[in-house]
Amino acid sequence: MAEIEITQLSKRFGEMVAVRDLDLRIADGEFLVLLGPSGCGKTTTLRTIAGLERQSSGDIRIGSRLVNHLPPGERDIAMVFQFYALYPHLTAFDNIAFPLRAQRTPPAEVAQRVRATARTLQIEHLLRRRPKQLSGGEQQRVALGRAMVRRPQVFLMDEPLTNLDAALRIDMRAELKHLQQELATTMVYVTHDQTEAMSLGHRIAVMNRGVLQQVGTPLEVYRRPATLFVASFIGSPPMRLIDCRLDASSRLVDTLGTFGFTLDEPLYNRLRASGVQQLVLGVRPEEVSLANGRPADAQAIVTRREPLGDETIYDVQVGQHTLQMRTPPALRLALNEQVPIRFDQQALRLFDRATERLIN
Amino acid sequence: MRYRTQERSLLNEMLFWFALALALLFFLFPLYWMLVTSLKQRAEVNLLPPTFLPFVDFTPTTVNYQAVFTRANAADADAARSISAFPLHLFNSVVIAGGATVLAVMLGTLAAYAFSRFRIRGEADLLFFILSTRMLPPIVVLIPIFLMFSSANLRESYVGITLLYLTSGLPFVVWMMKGFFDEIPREYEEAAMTDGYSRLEAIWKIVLPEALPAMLATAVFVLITSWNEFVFVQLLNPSRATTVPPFLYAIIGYGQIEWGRMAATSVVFLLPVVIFTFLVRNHLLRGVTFGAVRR
Repeated sequence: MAEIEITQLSKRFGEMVAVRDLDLRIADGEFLVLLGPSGCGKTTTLRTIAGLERQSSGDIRIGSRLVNHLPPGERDIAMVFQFYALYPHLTAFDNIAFPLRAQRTPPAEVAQRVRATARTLQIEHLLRRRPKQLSGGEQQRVALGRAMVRRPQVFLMDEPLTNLDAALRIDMRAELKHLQQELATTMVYVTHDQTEAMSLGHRIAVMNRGVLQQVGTPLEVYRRPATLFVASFIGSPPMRLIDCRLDASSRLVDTLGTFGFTLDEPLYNRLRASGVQQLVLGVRPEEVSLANGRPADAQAIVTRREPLGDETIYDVQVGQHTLQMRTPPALRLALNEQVPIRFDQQALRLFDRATERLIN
Repeated sequence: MRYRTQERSLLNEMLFWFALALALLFFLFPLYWMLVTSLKQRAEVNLLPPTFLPFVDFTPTTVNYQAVFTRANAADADAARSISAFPLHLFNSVVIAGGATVLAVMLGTLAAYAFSRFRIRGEADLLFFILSTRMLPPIVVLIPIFLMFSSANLRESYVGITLLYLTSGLPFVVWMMKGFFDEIPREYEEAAMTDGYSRLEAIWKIVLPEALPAMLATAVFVLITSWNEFVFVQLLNPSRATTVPPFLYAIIGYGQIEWGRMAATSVVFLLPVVIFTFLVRNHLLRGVTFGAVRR
């Protein structure tokens, strides 16, 4: 059982609070991604789980064993670092064998397990080489092998794919996902790349400035972001956020008074019920579309076109605000053309401006 | 006027080697002259114009080298075969300078590691204090050291002078090795600790093998400084635990300067350091420049 339970974890470096009151439960066999911008505390959290940093307060349990005071070597975890940290003066074989030798495993068993791991990662032909003689992807697999050969309860990964070129990164992502499913070992993965997070994780834990913003499946985090931060961080192009308020006639009006549209009854009632006056509207590009005969929510002016091949993203100006609109690749609109647009009101998100939390 | 590419690089090559030869000549010539002097009879040493080519201009002799190791000047033949004071002084130099170097490198490396890896309170200040000891001309503290050593009973002792050389070499080692350790990502030790080793084991197995070139390069510099040091050892250890430099000074001679014998003594004296430096030459450049470029 390799469930991880983090209770009220805090870590301070002098005056600076890196992680604040973190509560997180990771199920056995789960692939959990810690996602957030630089400095959000995700790496610090990972290192605390590993035991490389001592937390200022809070508890960490791995497999229901309290590990607060255990050194990294006794927590039955394996870590893959961003820079692989392969021992430069050892061959790939010795690198992978290293943790086994540290546990005084008999040489015959060491050799057998190293070869088995190398076979799984398809690096058997590289075992005699030194890290200098390996490409980035090969080094990364050796680093993975070194972690895997121990058969730990938990894998901890600190942005392992960041140093690879784009094509290799996509391949390795798929391999990692496949590997985790095969091994069924709990994996905690840190990244700042939301595409990686969305494609790899069973669940994503989004952090910002040391505070956990939301934990949920990729789809949950995308469709129902719990805070303004999550809303703007997840999604590419990002969700557009507009300050607005309800006015008397069940219309949603932006605070600058430059545009507004009538809300559907369910949405309106929901907002009235919440009692919140100061709102923030969140609109994703796929929620904006051409009216095409149906009643328009607003008139917009096309200001920019971004043809991406599989789709085209248009910047459209509504009042003082620029929104993005996702359209099929074939659709062509002229710049400065005025077009009527509609919103997918079921998908629109509204946030409380004061608390930054999701209302609907 | 255009050079053909091949010609131009040939010209540059020749210029390069010529400049190199000039530089080498400038630095190595005094050593060569000393070597040649050590092989000459007394009468030939002071000849003008001086002669430089053995077997061509003069007949080389080993008489000076015999004088280094035996009391060749003694009155009777038996005494002349007994060993001179030089081997003892050479032994002292090896023990004192070598000992100070080994200790300085060991302690300095550990201190540098701590500075590099741990959050030490007042780190920047401490490092500055450590460096500031090298900003002083050593001779300024000659008298205070003499007085301190007198009251601590450290004069005329191996321990005292070794301690002095250790203290003088340590700052250099700390600074060089800290810069070096800063270059090595701490993930290496962390990976080893995650695999089950303690920090000390991780240092021993992973960090030190990486650090060895830098440690050797640093050792060379500390060794050379201690090996050649004259003023302090002359003052503190004039009669016991004396190294070679004061001995060299003492054998200059009265009446006649024994150039041949001094040259031979000097040649023998510089051999150990030259051999050591030669053995570690491959590590020298890497070790010296490692701390210089910050990632």
